[in-house]
Amino acid sequence: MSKPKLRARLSSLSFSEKVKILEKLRDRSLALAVVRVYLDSGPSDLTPDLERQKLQRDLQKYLISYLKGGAPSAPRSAFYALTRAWLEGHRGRIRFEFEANGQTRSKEVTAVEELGNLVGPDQTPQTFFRGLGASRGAS
Amino acid sequence: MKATLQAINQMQADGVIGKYAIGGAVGATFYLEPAATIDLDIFVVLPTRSGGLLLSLSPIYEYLKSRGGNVLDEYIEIGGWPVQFLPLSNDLETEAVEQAVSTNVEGVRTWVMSAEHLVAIALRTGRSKDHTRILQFLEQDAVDRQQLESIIGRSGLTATWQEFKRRYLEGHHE
Repeated sequence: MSKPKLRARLSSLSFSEKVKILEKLRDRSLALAVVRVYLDSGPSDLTPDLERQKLQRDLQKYLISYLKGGAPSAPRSAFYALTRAWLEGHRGRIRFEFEANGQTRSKEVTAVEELGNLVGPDQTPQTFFRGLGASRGAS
Repeated sequence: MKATLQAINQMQADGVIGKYAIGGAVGATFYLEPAATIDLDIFVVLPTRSGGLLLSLSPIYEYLKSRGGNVLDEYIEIGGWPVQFLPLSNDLETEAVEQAVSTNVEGVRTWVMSAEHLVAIALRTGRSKDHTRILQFLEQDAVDRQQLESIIGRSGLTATWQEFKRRYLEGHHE
């Protein structure tokens, strides 16, 4: 389909349908621009740095995939399981860095319950951003 | 956004705000193809109290905070959308709200500014993203040009409009 035709087709959608697209675009913008995840080790943790960095990279992919709204639950489940295991097994911290109002902010999570409120079962990208206080995110 | 608009309509029913209209990028989406935005601009009539105009937005924020709203600087998150309430600041915005178009989102009634008022307000605001939006409206023939010129004339924006047309529509760049 040509670009003008696609544009015309999108323009002719109902306002409700357009709003649904807006919501997806908004979530995608926030996901791509806002959040980075870091694993901070506890003082007694012996995990090799390379292993920690690899896990961190995997987590970042799962998180972005989840926040972009792809598959409904698999990336979130994987992200939650791995970060939960990190908290429980390493007594470390999960740190989220995000952009809000042009400033970089961070949120540290040390408790499984708090993690569950962000990315546990039944949570959504919206509740995640709300939990971070990052809803304004990238404008 | 359904929950967001339900909450705003409830504010109206409770007398916290008067008439309102959606503007900005979400308002433009009513007429154009959806474009990424992360907030919702609500132009709002603030109710008057005995003794004069209510100039502060605090009652709106207090009302929403007491119902679980999350305040983020000039925004307040309602139903997952950061919402900015913009009190009317000139005759153009007042007319835009008065003449807003009634529509609905998933069965919830709401009001959106006319395409011509959105363009005129974008012209007055004058940022590069506003100019881009104006061009979208014009390219997609989504405005009544006669009506637009009339609004622009009433709003004292004729010179700004002439300059916009010279820069963007006549191919004369400085």
